[in-house]
Amino acid sequence: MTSSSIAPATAVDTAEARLRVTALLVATMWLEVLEATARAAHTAKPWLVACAGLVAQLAFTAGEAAVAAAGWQAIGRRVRWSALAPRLLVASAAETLAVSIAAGRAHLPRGWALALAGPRAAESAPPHGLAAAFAAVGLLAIVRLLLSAWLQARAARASFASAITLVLALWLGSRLAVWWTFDLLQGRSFQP
Amino acid sequence: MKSRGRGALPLERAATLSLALAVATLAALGIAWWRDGARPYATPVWETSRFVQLAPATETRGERWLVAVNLRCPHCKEHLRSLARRIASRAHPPALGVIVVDQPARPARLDLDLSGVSLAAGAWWDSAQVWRDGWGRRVYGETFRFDARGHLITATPVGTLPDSGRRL
Repeated sequence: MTSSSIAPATAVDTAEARLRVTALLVATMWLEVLEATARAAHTAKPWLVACAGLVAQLAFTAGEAAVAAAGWQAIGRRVRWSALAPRLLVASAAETLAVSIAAGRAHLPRGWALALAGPRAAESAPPHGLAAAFAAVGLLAIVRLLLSAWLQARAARASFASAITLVLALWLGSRLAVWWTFDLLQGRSFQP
Repeated sequence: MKSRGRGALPLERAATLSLALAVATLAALGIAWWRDGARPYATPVWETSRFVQLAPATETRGERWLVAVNLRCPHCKEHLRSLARRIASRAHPPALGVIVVDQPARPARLDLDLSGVSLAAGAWWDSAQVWRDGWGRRVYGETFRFDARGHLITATPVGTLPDSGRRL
């Protein structure tokens, strides 16, 4: 008789595995949405663009998870990067729908498109950095932030209030970065 | 409760370092943005004396549309060609011209392939970086619509018809 060295799976392990499978599904959703968006924009190699977009999305999520892990550490909670990264990817599922709407694939009335995906659903390009930074603010962006905070609060065994404060702080930091970068790249171009 | 273990420390350090790096990058970006915003830039005025002539202007009356072209930018050259095609059929077209920007040395030749359309407002080399440093402009293909006296009417991006705001 041989003794097994494999420990039985706990409920936590199962939940974690389920979360990672969901994260994988969200990654495929990103690939599909990016490919369709590239195809709609008549890009020469839509699959190549979609793969590059997915790599960028995963890299962004990895960076976001690293900064979030450090943020949690700063407020006295230890959360592994490997626990945060799949949760952030799962939370980005709402964004895939927003990107589809903004690309005009959802065939929604204009008012609904703007409410769900934010001002980026309008065809006009943002005139300045502030508009560019908040062009994606719609109901789906709010869903993403709330979902991210809820998932992170569970991972960190912290209150939802702490999680949403951290998520909002990091999100605002990223918006400032977009605002300032856009303005620096554009300079005074197009100003009268 | 799990002990921290030695393996966790490099990860914690990496997380702290990434946060510090993100904060430092944001602060540097903010300072650069604030300094750029505080810098005074002049409103564009068309004065040929500030530019080096590459091709002479054949029309000096009426409106002038000058496109900021970088010779290595295919999009702004395509925009220039689209503009030229779009105004060619007009009874009184504006004088189309080019400002060659971010070009350290005088270009040997203007390879713009306008298919026979003349640049009535001429072609000008921005040797003194007026476009970037004087006017604070940074996006190639921007089209300046000047009135007959050289005053700016509008400045529009690539793909836009300057006098209507419509897509080309």
